[in-house]
Amino acid sequence: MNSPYSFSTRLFLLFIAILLLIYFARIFSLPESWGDYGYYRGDYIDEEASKAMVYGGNDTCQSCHEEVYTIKKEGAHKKLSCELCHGPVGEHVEGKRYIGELSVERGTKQTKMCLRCHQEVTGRPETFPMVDAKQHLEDEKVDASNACGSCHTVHEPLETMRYVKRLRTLREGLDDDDE
Amino acid sequence: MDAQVLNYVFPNDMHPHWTLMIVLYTYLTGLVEGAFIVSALSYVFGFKSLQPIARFSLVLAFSWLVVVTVPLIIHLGQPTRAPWMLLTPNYDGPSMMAGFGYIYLIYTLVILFQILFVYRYEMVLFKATSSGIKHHIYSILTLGTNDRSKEGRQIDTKVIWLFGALGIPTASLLHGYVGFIFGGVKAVEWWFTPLMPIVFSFSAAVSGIAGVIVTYIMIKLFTKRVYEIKTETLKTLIKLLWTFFIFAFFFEMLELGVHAYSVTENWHHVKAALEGPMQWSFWTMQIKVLSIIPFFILMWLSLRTIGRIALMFWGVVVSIMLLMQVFFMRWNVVVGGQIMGKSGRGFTEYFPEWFDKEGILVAGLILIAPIVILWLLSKIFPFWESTTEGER
Amino acid sequence: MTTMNDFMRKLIVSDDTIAPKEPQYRHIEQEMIDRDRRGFIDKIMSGALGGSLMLVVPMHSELFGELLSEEPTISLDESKKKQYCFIVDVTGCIGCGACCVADRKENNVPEGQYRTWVERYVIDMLGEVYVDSPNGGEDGYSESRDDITNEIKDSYFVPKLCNMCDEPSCVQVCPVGATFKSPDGFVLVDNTHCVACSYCVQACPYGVRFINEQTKTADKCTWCYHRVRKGKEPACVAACPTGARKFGDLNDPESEVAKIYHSKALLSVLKKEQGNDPRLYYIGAGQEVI
Repeated sequence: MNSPYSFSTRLFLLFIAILLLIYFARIFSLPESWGDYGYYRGDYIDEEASKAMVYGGNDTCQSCHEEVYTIKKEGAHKKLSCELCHGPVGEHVEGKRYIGELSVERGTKQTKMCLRCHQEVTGRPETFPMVDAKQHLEDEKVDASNACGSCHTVHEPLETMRYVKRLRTLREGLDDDDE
Repeated sequence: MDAQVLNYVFPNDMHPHWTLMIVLYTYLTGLVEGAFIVSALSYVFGFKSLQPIARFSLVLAFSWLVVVTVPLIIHLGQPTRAPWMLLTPNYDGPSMMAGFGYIYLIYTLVILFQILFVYRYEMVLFKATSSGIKHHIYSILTLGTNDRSKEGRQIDTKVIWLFGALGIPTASLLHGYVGFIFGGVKAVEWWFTPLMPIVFSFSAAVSGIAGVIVTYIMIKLFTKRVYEIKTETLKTLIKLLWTFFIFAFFFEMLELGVHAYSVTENWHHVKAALEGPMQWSFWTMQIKVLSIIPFFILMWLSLRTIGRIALMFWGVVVSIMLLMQVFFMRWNVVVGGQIMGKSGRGFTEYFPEWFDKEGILVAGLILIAPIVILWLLSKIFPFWESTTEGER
Repeated sequence: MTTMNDFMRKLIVSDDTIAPKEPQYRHIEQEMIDRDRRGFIDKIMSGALGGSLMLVVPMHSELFGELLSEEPTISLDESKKKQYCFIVDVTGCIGCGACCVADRKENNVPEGQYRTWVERYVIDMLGEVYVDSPNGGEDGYSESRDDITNEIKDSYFVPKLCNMCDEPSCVQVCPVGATFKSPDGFVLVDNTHCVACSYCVQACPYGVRFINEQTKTADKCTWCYHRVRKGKEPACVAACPTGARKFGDLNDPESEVAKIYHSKALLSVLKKEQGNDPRLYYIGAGQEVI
């Protein structure tokens, strides 16, 4: 009790106790898979890998919407992901149930979707087909209130154009006959 | 392509991720180091003139040290997970921040143990004379020992010396480390310099010594014991302050100078920031008002024979200025590095909210807390008595 | 010519041009669908798909079940043998922001925080560089840079995402070992261990990290690790309409990224001087891209 060294000794023991406390706290609290692959919790890798996907890809859509898929795969939009416009399939189904409609509302909303890519804007590569929406409608001499979908079928935008072209050639032929 | 700041920052960098709380953290660790140096100069290097405030500055350092982690924990997104810093410290990287946890812990123990040894003999005496809670506190702090022997007191002196000697490198390491937390981030050009730990260490000493001067004089003033202030002590403190300030300022200007002289791509961006959003806080406040002016005041105070009252008055004034200078320096480092962004093309802005979780009000409370803690500690550890009692 | 135009107008605009609320040529698409449906039914009738007819309905639900199943299909050991690589073709990016939308939904990223974003670089004749990225380009670029008075020399979009560095500085600084480089080379954040000190956010030279407002932990692009381990490409790659974002395994000689990587195409990385060795490569990104 009264030894001149007692205080120092006790303090030293206290210090050791603190270190031991941390040491044991570490041993007891260390996550199970810690250090399996490196200085981290190894299990997390599979936890991350097991997160649910939200986007499914075109194959998923094809399984139910074969018809549209067939139309799209031949056309100018063949590379496009269905979910780009329609939203992720994860919002469409839950388990095995349909929970949401994914159709894009025709008119303004659809136009907005088209112009995301096709609006003529600084930065877009010149080779990419783009229009200034307003100008385009003027150039084509159609009413300004028209939406893109009024003329273009969105899943194969050039289909209508081909239709028109065919009729145009037909008409040209007729014109020639007139002359 | 020079100095084109066209105001584009990466979308995730629109606001600083390290806020006022981190500024406070760097500031508080600095104060600890400075105050500790004052006590170490007395205990280890035998500065006789500093002996009257050796105990005081040690306890003062401790009262700042206790709150250092508060702003850090407030800033964490997951405060409850803070123990992972000690339990799974990343020595693989290694992470500078993980090292800080242990250095902080060791430093806390060094200071705490040193205080216990400094007060051990007196506590044993107090324990006998006091009753109630105080008696219990002294029993715990003396770890149940009652040794009053001369031999025991000799051991105390040796251990105090040892802890002081251990404390100096630990203190430098602690704050140098804080500097390295910034100096090691290569992604932020304003931080990335090996001089950062040195600048941090010296400016820490500056702020701590200034803190000791201000609190010393203020406490004496409020307890109406101004006559107890030793001119010699004050003069030594002011000379120390000047010395450390010269180093701090020199190294910081050296860092800036090297950066400016190298004229790298980064410098164009840093320069634009210093002349733009940081103009006021860096050039005007930190450099012109709070560095140049105090430098000359300190020079005058250190080199000329000054009257006692004038020394006290100007000592407090210049110390407050330097306390502010170091705060601005911390702000300019922590916030400055972040408002410069990583896009190299623009700056963000930051001003803390008043009542935010990491806002000005909380910051104010954190800065006031050490004063309250110091007052509480003074009930257990008397600062001054030993000077009147003579040699310990 | 005028007659033809008139004819065209008649054809396209028809009589009620004033406010054609209903699309005019919807019937064409409908017709196509009908045609295909008939073909489909014909095929079934002819026996081509006969055997599977009974399976058609349950198969769909199986597919969705599989989609939403969370089990990774590629084991970590298999994944380790691959050398994943991400290539962004700047010349192909049209700045539509589809990648950003997909990323936000796929990874449930809070608004105002960005795992990926698209920047627009505009360089005028004097060499002045203008960069913008309103809302990270997520809404698609719809405004031209009319504020630039000089003639524009070049302009392009640069998608940004995690560089998945070989020497990740974010991993180096993490105090608790919450962020790490997985054995298959992905830099991930264990959000059950992260203390959200933001040190990694500071250390990332590319600004791709942030503290997620909802989880209150560090967050960043993972190249959709959960998809990759299920054999799918990252959501942004799948969403990209022009194929400007490419992802694949360099060890697979048939993959697009391997072909590009082994070709003479000039690949660049961002902030090479940082020494992080990114595994995200760019084609066609100018020197001004930081």
